[in-house]
Amino acid sequence: MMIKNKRAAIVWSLFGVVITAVVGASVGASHIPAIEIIKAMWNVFSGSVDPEDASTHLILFDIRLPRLVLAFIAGAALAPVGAAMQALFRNPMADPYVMGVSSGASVGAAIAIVTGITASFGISLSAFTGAMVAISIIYLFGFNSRRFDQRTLLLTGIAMSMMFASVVSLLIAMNRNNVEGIIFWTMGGFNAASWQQVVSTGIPVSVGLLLLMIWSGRLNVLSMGNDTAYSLGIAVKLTTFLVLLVSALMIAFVVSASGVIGFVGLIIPHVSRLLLGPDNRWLVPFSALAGGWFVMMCDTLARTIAIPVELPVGCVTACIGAPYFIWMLLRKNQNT
Amino acid sequence: MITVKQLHYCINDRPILNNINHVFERGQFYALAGPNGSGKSTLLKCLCGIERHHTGEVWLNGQPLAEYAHRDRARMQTYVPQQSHAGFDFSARQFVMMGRYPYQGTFAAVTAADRELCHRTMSLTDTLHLAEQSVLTLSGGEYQRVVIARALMQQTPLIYLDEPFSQLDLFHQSAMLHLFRELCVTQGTTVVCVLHDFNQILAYADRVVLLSNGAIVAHGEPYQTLTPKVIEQVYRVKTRWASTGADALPGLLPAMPVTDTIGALEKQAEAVGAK
Repeated sequence: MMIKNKRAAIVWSLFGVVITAVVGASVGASHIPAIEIIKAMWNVFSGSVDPEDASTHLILFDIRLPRLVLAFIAGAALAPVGAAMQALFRNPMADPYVMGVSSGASVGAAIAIVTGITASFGISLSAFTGAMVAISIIYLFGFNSRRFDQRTLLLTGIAMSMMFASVVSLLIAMNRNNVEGIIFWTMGGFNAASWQQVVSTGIPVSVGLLLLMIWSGRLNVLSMGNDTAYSLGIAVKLTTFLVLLVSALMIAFVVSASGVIGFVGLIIPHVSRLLLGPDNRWLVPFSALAGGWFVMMCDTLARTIAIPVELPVGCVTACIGAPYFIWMLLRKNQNT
Repeated sequence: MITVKQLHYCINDRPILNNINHVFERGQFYALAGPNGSGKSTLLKCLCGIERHHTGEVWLNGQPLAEYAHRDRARMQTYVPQQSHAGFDFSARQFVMMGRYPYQGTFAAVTAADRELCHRTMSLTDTLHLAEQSVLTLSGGEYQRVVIARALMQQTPLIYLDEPFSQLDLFHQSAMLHLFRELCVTQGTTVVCVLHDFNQILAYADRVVLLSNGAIVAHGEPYQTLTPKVIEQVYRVKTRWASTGADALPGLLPAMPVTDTIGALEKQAEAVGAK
């Protein structure tokens, strides 16, 4: 099952991303044929917008495309960060949310919703602040111990996640009329996507992804254990510090724009590892493409499967991903 | 090569190492010996810099160890831990190849010279037949040899080994000891190795450093240092010299009946109970 030609795998997944994007742009409450999409794209690039197609243009460029791109960005951040966390903590259960960033963001969002800051920008800002608070707490406690080890960090993150989750429950219990808003925010989704969000999450995620790719060789060595990594010339504490910081910031931007989308950051790295092997130098870029593609596809399904009702994208990611993942695990175990 | 000065190390005010002073010379095979909990592994970790919360100084080639850049240090010394876990299913070859990390750039590919070195190192450690196998599927001894191979890939003039042969069979134990002995003689490599077997120390080590309760109690040439008298004081075990052949050097044999050992433990338990 392992793919030998890794470069081809990257090219093929890029191809898959483009196809899925075109399909995603075409389907929906009003169907836009693929040829129309290409025509509209051409018009934008050549600067001549046909006034007859104003509504197609609006649906395509103001609603569907930013949504697709934002979904891609979210997946392209969650999956490689998940891969990095699993290597860093040497733990297959690690995912982008183990650091408590998402639950910090949830508390921030819940506070904004409860206090009546309903503008999406306000909620995002509050969520981002919550995520930053969570990161600061981790750094304050996790890096302070005399003998540094990742287990302390991991446990600090888990304990904090639970604490923040109970704060969210508390906020819900005390503000019954806001239950819906808070729960829907926590489930995550891209229905409020805008180009402004694409830019404000796309830039930090791209920078972070680039850094993770540069550090991916170090992640390989770090996944061998702290003492071995030290012996091979890695600054263990500093590297962990930097990888976690960049990852946490990427996730903070994604989560504050689109809520907490589960499963992607846990499973896509595993599936990518089954396909390409454990070398993070391939795993980080490939899982970014695979994660982006997966979220884009799931979001397209979520909004088209039961028109006019939109399903929460987190449900779709888990419903499709979990059975597929178990099937892959079983197949792997039969082969070896 | 390495100079340790006035090294003290405590965990929660409990002294683990007490005023360690020693000079390790280039090109020698050093055996670190001592009973369980005497501080061998901790000393090794302090020497290579993994454990840094100690007082005193460790100098490597006339420069404090802490002043080395990480990459430069990894080209000077390597460390094989007592236990390690593979984590992810890299192939044995990928795993061993990671030993070249201190020489590679961020995006540099593996060079032909690296591949050549990897082949040679894996054949020296008898792991070549495992090259394509996942490290997660190796046996304990096979994994230990792959770890040794990765350390050798660093091509360092100084090698620290913490009980590296504990899971190897007799053949591979002597093969590995020969290999490190060979490196000392031909390349001038310095080896500092935690070893438990007195006869291995006698046969392979140039020097032995004997630890007890966190202090160096004896050091020097193995045949002069590891006498039955010293061993009884440090290990509470009676031994005697035994000839292994007409022209072979004698070895050490345990001479205390097992019942005596159990008796000693019972006495100790009573003493603890009385407190």
